[in-house]
Amino acid sequence: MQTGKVNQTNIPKNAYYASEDVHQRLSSTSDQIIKKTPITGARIVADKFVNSLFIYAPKGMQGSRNSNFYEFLSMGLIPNITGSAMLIALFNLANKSFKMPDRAFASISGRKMAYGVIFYAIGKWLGQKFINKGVEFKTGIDLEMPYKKVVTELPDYPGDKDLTRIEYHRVFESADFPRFDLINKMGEQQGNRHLWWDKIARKMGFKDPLNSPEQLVQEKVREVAVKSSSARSVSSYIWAALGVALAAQAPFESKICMPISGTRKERILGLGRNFATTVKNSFVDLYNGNNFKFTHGAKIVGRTIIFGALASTILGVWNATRGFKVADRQADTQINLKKEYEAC
Amino acid sequence: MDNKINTSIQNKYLETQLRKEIAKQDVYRAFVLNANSIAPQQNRAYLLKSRNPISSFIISVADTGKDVVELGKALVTGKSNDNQLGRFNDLGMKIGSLGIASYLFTKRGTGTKGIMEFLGAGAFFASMAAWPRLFISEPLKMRFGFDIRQQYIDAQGRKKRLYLDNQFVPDLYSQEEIDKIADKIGINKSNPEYRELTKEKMRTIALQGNTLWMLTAGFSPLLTSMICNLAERGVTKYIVNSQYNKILKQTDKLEELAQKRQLDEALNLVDFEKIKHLTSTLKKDPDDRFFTEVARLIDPFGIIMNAKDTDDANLISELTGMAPKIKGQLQQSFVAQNAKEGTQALIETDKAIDTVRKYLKSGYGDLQGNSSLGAHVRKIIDDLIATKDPNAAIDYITVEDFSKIFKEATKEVVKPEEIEKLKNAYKNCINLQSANPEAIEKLCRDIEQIYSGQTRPISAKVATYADFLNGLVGQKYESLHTSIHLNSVNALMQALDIPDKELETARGSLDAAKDILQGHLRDIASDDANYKAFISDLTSRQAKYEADTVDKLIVSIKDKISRGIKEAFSNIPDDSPLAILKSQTLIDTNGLKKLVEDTFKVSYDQFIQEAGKDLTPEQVVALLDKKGVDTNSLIREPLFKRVIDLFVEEKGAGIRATGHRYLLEADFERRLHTGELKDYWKYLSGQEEISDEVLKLCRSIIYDGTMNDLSNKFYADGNGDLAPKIIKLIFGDPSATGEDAMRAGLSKLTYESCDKSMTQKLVASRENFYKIYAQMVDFARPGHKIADIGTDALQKTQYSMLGKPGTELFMDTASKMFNDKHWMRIFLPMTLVVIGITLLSQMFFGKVKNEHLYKQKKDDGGVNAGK
Repeated sequence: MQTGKVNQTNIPKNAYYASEDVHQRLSSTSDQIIKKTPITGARIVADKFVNSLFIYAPKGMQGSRNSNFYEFLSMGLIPNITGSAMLIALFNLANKSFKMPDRAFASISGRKMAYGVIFYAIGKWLGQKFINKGVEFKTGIDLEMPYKKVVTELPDYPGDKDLTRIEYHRVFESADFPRFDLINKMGEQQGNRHLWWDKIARKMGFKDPLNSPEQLVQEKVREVAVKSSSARSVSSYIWAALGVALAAQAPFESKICMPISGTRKERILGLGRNFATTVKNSFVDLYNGNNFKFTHGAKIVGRTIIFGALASTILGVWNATRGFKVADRQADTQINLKKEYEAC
Repeated sequence: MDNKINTSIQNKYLETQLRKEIAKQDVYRAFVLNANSIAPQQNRAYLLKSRNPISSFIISVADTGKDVVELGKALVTGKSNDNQLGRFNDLGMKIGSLGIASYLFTKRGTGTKGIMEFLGAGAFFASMAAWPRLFISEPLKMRFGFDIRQQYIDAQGRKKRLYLDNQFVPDLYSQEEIDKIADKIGINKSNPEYRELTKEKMRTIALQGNTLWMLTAGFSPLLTSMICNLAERGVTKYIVNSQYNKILKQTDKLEELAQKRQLDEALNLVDFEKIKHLTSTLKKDPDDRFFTEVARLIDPFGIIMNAKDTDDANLISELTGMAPKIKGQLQQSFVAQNAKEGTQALIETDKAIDTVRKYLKSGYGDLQGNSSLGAHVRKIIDDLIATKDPNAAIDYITVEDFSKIFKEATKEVVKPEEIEKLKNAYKNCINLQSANPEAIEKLCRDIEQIYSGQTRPISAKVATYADFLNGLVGQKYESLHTSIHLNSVNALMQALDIPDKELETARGSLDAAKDILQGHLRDIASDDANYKAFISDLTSRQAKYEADTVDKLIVSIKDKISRGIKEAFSNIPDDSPLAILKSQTLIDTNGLKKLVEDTFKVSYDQFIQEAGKDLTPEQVVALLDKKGVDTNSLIREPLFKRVIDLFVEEKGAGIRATGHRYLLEADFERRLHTGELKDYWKYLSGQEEISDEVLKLCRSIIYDGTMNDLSNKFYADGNGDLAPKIIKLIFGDPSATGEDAMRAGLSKLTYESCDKSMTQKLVASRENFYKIYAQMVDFARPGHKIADIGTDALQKTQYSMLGKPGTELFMDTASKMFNDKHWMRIFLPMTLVVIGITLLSQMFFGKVKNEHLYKQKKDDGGVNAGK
């Protein structure tokens, strides 16, 4: 087995993260996989958004040499948010001044548009999450594994000392250059360079640790990453379409109200319940194609969207993980995978 | 060992060594000597030429196709690259949007809305794509001579954007191109580094443009909605035209459509279940409810009417009333059937005994609480028990036998109250008889047969026609009729030229709307030229609209539909309960009127009044028969013809009347202005000046009057003297007198205001208005003649026929116009401001930091950022 194995007892139990002090020391100076908590994703998005507005955009407008592709992509958040707000505004802003029956009718479409925009975002996010989680469940590969990248810039002015900047990437975001090195580094920090690879190899069906697991695993990981990324780009938009279709149903035409009586907690719960009922009812409507002239068409397309979303997720996960358990199908080989290296 | 040998061996070895050395030196020499002529391989990447929008669109479609293929490959093999994965994301977005648009399309009830969903999605993508081109890259290109969205093909053959990544810009422009751009940017070419400086400037501009794109792209929905707003008018026009053509084409395919509808299970499923349900639970003793429901079920019109809106239902009240008649038929035929096969009508013996006990007990009980029974009653019971078969679970006795036993046992009874009691008991026992099982069996079979064999074909046909005609002349939004009407209403609003402020006020209340409308009409009426232009514009529009819908379409399709329905009716067998539909005829009221007027030389209305009560045309015919008038010449129209008339002609009447009311309003103001009205009032009221009171009343009749108002409010008791005069004043029909003025005036307002005969009478005094008016032959309003169901029409029907009051229409239209304008007032400036900022900020593009460093190279080194 590997040489230089250290005492693993003090390694934190949850998988492959750096121990606290090592993490502290390394994270500020070099690229580093960061520990994931439930809000990590949200914090990264918030960081990107704030930076986009106050750092990346001014830099870009000045034509700075230091602006890079990451910043350009991060700024993509801005049109997403202003665009959504714009869509909602276009359908709602003028309604206030309308006369009563007109206002009521206008706010129906306004409400639907607002829900549509929000559900679009939720649907898209869910579509991505489902595939990522499905793949993680079957292969153990966390496709969203974030890492922090330390970027060194050219000085902006003579004597500029503040030359490093932090970016948040994902280890598998690039199909061409996945950061396998960081995975090794993470393992090294915990005393076992192969820690993560071993884990995936186990998922692939190898019962004993392999000599050089990367060799086998890397190829598979690349394959899984590309397949799931391709599936994600289609699936997430079908889920988004499902979100919009849900918001287009009649139950969303009326306001979702908060109960007027009860304690605050009860009222909030009641609001949640009302919302859930509305979602449920619109789902039923979407499925049955209720109340409209083209009932038949609406029913067919509605069901197509529902089942399309489900199928895209299930097939996407299936396709990404098919053939992942190589160990079962391993042909008889001359190479002894378990053999130790011998010193010459 | 020999030395020689040794040496030679050594030499050999040496030689090889030497040769190796020489070879090495050769390579080195060759490299040194040719150092200047050896270059890296030619860059295989190249810039894409700019194309015209059409071919670039076609190429983008082709690229999308390629992406689909690539996506398939990536999903199968798991091999791809970052560039391609990025393109998959765009592909997914397109698929998702198509899904959304097609779903929303299926949910929209109207053509325009549906198309707008696709158009909206298309416009959204178009404006997302157009925004950076129109407002960023094109202006920059004009100013600096290069496209920041320039694409290139990389060495691997992948299409990419040159300036996508600020830190990786391939050096692909040729020197000549760079020179040109340098000229455009205005770079001093005496600077030996000017090419580097130019490239740096280009990079800077591209980065600034891209950043600006990200900052402003979110506002492109503004552009989308502006595009959609403009497009909607075009789409509406297109839809109206295509609807028009579609309708003409559809008339040939109506039979086919009806056939399809008949076979469509989805449209009949519920009803069939219902019939099964009815026959299974009610197999015993069909009762009244059973017949009612079955009649409703097999009434071919009932099924249609259930699905339509109530306005339709009211207009076709004759048809909705058919169910009770069918029920009667059904019951009759069942009774006949039951009697025919029912020689063996049966009563359950036990039940008969119980009934006899119940109805004939004396009222006194013995010690055990059993009611005592008279001897004759005991005899009945004993005789009945005697007939019972001890082995049968339920035992029956025929009605005949029961009657015998009953009569035999009660021969002796003489007391009148006892006889009464006996009769009652007998009746109740007879009522116990269950209908003949075979008859019920047959009834159920019949119902199913009638339903699938007769009701469904007719209802499918009628429903198909109804849908078709609804699309043509229905009052729903976006029927051809309504669309054309809305166009003319919009034109009217334009002709009135209402300022925004007044629009805002007008939408507030009916009173305000009335004031403004009236004010504008008064202004127009006070100027000869204006009035002439206004009226001729309005009338020609109205005439064109009526000629378009009424003449061209309705007349051309009426025959076809008429034939189709006739056929459907003729397929009903004569013994079917539905045959009543076939035999039902209605009298042609126009013919009847003419006959009455010709024979008695009085108006039809007067004739009816003299007869003393409101008569239906059928009753009038009966009356005429009594009086010995020959009514055989009268055309009796079959019911189906009435179906057509109602569908086709009456439905459009309301819309037409709405248009006519505007004309009346303008005419009123005009006559007021010319003084004609005042003179006439003097004549009517005996030299009395026209008061504001009277004017107010006149105006509320023509501006605000709904049908209910006209038939109730304005003719309220106590107003009897003034009202006829006012009606005369408004409609100027001097021939009408007394009671007649009230009725006829109203009726004329609603139905005949534009009648040709009436217009002719009025031409003399109302030149400007009626000369133009009278030339329009179609203003005779053919629909209204048939619609002259007059006083016995349902109020709602009358209301529908009257059209919308001018004030209300004005208020609604004003409100819509205000909303549109208000929306524009918010978002148009916003769009312009964002576009302005986008364009203005480009003024500051292209300033390179440390530009001074790009100058004659000196000994102190190259260019470094930060120095």
